[in-house]
Parts: sequence; structure tokens; C-alpha cells
Amino acid sequence: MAEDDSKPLNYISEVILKKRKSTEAWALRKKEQFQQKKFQSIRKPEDFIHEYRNKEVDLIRMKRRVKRKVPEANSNTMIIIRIQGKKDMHPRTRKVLYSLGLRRRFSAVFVKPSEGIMAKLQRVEPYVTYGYPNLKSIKELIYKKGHARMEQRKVPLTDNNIIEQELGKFGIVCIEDMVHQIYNAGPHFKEVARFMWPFELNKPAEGLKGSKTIFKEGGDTGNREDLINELINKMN
Amino acid sequence: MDGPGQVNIFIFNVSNPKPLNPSFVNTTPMAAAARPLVSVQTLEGDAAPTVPLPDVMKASIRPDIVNFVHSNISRNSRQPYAVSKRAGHQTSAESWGTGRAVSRIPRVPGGGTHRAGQGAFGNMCRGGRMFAPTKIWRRWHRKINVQQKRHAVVSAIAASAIPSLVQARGHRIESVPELPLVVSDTVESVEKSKEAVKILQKIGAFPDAEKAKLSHGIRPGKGKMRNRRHISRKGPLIVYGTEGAKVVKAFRNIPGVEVANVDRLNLLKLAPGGHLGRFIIWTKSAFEKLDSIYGSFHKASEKKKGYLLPRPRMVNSDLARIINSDEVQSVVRPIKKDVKRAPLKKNPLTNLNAMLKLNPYAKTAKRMALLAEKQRIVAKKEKLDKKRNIVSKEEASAIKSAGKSWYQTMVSDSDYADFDNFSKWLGVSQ
Repeated sequence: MAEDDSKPLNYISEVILKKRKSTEAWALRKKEQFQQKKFQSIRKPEDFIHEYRNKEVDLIRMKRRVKRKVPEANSNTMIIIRIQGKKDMHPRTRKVLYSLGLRRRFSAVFVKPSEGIMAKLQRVEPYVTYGYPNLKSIKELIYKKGHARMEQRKVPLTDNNIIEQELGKFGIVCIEDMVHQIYNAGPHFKEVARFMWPFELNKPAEGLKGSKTIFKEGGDTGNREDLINELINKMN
Repeated sequence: MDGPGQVNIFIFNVSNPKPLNPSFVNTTPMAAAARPLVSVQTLEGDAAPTVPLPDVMKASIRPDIVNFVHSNISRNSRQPYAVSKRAGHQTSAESWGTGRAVSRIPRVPGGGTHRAGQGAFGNMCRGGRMFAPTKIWRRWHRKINVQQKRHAVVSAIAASAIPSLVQARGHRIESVPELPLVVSDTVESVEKSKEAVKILQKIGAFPDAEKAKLSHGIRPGKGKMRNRRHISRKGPLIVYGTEGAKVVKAFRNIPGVEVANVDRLNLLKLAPGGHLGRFIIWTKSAFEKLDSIYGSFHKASEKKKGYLLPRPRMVNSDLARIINSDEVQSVVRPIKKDVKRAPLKKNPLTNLNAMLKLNPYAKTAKRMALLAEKQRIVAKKEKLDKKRNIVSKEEASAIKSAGKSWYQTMVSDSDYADFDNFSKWLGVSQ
């Protein structure tokens, strides 16, 4: 044994082992969930009746809500987060959500509040929450969860070259320029907002109760104004 | 005939010797106009004519069908047999019962002979009947589907065209110029066995017949006393095409040689024992009749109603060879060797390198923030020190000496003798 050449031991780095362990745990959990889901795949007639009634009620409430005065915004920039909505929405409501870019739960988009946008928000009020983000929230969101939309593909923003290729003609060459445009609602806000894929936020451990009541009245939805930043911090 | 013990050696020059040509028998089915050709072996030295190879020679070979059909066909020539129903019962034996110190088996009556008193009837007794005596009502024969029989015959014919199978069966075909072996029709008019032997020697088939002759022997087992005393190998099979040909009598008494008409091929001769690969010698007319008798892969037979040769599901089942052929490899897309993988996205808020990639100013901002933090700490410390009224040592000593001088002043001023001192204190000027 002493005559053997001394070679470095073959080892696997701790990061890979940890990743492997978490992957296996995730796979097991997924498998259990799938097995449980099999039993829940049978839907009863009561479920369908409940679903259709919810849709009908949703439409009626939307029609009533539309008759009220359109709410106003007190900021140049606004962020909208979809927090609810699955099978209890009317297709018309879902279409409005899609036009805002909120196709998934806990997805978020930046918008410049205009009368049209506020009218749309009034229609989908029970399913979204919105507010006025500050510079820290905007910066952290774009840096951490920013993705570009290139040819209908989702490309992570890992390099400024991606931004320069698409938005260079507007003078936007780096990610800080994007943050600037979003925060100040600059002249190229629309191009930057469309360039970004909707953010996919995490489900917050706390902070959402699953309620459709307006935030001012103790619920989850509607305008949170500056308090949206706390929610963004939890969901980022 | 020659006298006994004398050995005759026939020596002839084999005309037109050709090496074995096994490539054509393995070719895939082709159009009728492009079928491979088989040479007809002539007995004179003329040029050899050729005949196309019948499609039956290229049919798929099914040993399982041949074995099954052969087993069932060979049962159909059986005759019923059984033990006599009276065997073992032709006596009036009765048991002696108990009390005589012998078993209770029925015993032959009478006296005076050794037979008297012997056991009878039982299957363990000498002269008794067998256990469960056999009966003639058995299932002696078997019904076989016509299609199965035809498939079996076709398989046997196809196997006889493959030299490796014929050799594997044990035939001696080293001297045979070609397989399948086709001879001219002059053989059909041969009348003498002497001439037949010469023909076999000329075409190289005689070693096989000789092997069969030399293998004559006594059968092992009980078949000796059941009309199956002798055994020997099988030699070549002569197939002729003309009814009433004299070749039958010429060849049939040569040991090992069998004769058959092409219209009535028997599976028991084409595949003896259910084993494929019989060495067959075809006459030209018989060979040419095979197409009309068995048909082809696309045209039905003329003699057997509605019969088409069986076709395999895959013409060539060598899948690896098909995939690696030039026709396939020239149209498939080449291997993608460079796998393009999306870069892993790091979190710039926690990963400084990722942050610097996006925002190079972050380093400067971070440094300025650290310096500002340091400045803020120093400023806060100064402010707190001021509020805590910490004085230096010189100031402390000055304060102390001032206190002392004031004390001395108070002591000296208290020694008053008259009113003037009080006036000084009160500040009154009278």
C-alpha cells in the first residue's frame, strides 16, 4: 500500500450532495401528492354546480362594480399582483386578467396607471392586489426575477447584452436603465414593461388570508398603496 | 451380377463440376423476370440449360409446423391393437378364503398339476390379466388442417435448397455441383439400376447413398420383434415429373434412395423424422412443375385451390443491418454533438459576481455605503461623547484648583470683626 501513488480523493462537493438530497425529497413529496391527487380526481355534481354558480355570481358582481366610480392612483408607477382566481372566475374576468398579463397566480406586472388600466383593475378587483412600489422593491424584483420576452420565449436577464439587443434603440442598454424607466415612469415605460416577462413570485408564508375583501376593509385585494412593498418583500 | 465378395469400383469423370453457389438461395424475393437460375445437370457433355428457381424454394421455413405435421401424419398409418379381452380370464379360479395360511387371491381349481392352486386373474399373478387391459377404441389417427400440411411441405422444399441445412441433416453433398440439384429428363427414362448408380455417381450423389447403405444395422429396443428389426440412414430422394416413368423401378432398390412424384410429395419423405433438409434430386420436368403446383407469393396455385405461399412479416428481420445500411444512414439527421444549455440564473441580490455582471457600479456603491457607514459610526460616537460631558485631565485640574481657591475665600471672609465685612457682602454702599 505504501508504494501506491498518492492521489487526491474522489469527492463530491457538498453543494451537489445537498442539491441531490433536496431533489430526492422533492420527488418523493411530488409522488405522494400525485397519489393523493388520484383519489381527488373524481368530481361530484355538487362541485360542478358550485363552480357554475360562482362564475355566475362573479359576473353579476363585476357588473355592479363597474357602475361605481373608477378608482384613482396617486403614483406614476403601479404593480399588480394576481393573488387569487382559479375556477371561480367568469371567463370574462379571466380575459381581463390575461390582457393585463396575469396568467398565473402570484404573477405580477408593472403598469403605468391610466384610466383604462384602472377600469380593468376595477373589473378584476377580487383577484388582484396592487400598490405603489418603491425603488428598492422595483430594483430587487427586476434583478432577482427579471426575465426577458424574446420571440415568445422566457430568457433570464443574466447579461446586459440581452437588454441592449432589444432596447438599445431606445437608449436602454442595461438593467439599471430599465429600473430607472420603471420607477420614474419614463418615456419608454411601455417598451420596458412589455419587454419583461410577468414576474412569477413565491407564495408568501404569511400575509395573505385568501380573502376577496378589499385591503382597506381587512381583506387581501385592492389597492394597498405603499404597503404593497411589504408584500413584495415577502413574495420575492 | 458379379460373384459374391468381389468389389466393383466405378470411376467416371464428373462433367461440368461447379462449386456450391449458396448466395442465390438467400436472396430476397424479386420480380418474376429477374429470378435466379439453376443449372440443369446433363449426363452428356452438352451445354447446361438453366431453369428459373421456383418461388417455393424461397418460402419461409417453419420447423415448428413441419415437426407438428410430421408427428400427426405419422399417426395416421397406425392400426388398432390391444390385448385380448379374454387374456387372463380363461379359468374358473376361486379364492380359498381364509383359514388356509395363504393369501385370498383366486386360485386355480383341480389337482394333479403344478397349475392347480396357483393364483389367477390378478395382474400380479403369473398367467393373470394385465392391469387396465388395453382396448382397441383409442384415438389412433389425427386430423390435420390442409393449410398446415401444405405449409409443412413448402417449408421442407425450401429447406432442401439450403446446403447448410442439408448438410446439418447429415447428407453427404460435398461432391454435388449445385443445390437444388436438377438433372435432365433423360434420367426419367432410365430402366436399369446399374445405370441409375452410374447417374448418381456422375452427379456426385452416390456418397450419400453409400453412407445410407453402410449404416444398415439392427434396431435397438423392442422394435426388433415388432416388424421394425433393421434401421439405416436416408439417402437422396429422386423427384420425377412424368407419370409412369421408368425411373421408379430403376432407383427404388438402391439402398437409401427413395422416389417420389412431384404431384404427390410426401412430408414423411421430404422431412424424415420431422427434420428439415432432405437431399432432393429433381428432374427438369419436376422442377418446372413446382411453380404451377405451389404457386408463388402473389399468384395462387393451380393445383391446390386457393393456396398462396406463406410470406414472413418482415422480409429481412436483421434490424441492425437495416438501420446501418447506406440507404437509411444517408437520410437520417447527423448526431447533435453540441448541446446548447441555458445558463443558470444566479440571484444578483446575493451573488456579487452576478450583480457586477449586470451593474458594475454596484461595487462602487457598496464601497461608498461601507465608508458612509463607518463615517456615521464615528460621528455618532462623537455626538455621544459630547453629551456625556467627558472633560480632559487639564480641565479637571483647573476645575479642582478653582474649587480650592473659592474655599479659601470663604474661610477668610468668615473672620469678620466689624460691620464693614457684611456690607461688602450685601453690596450696600453707605
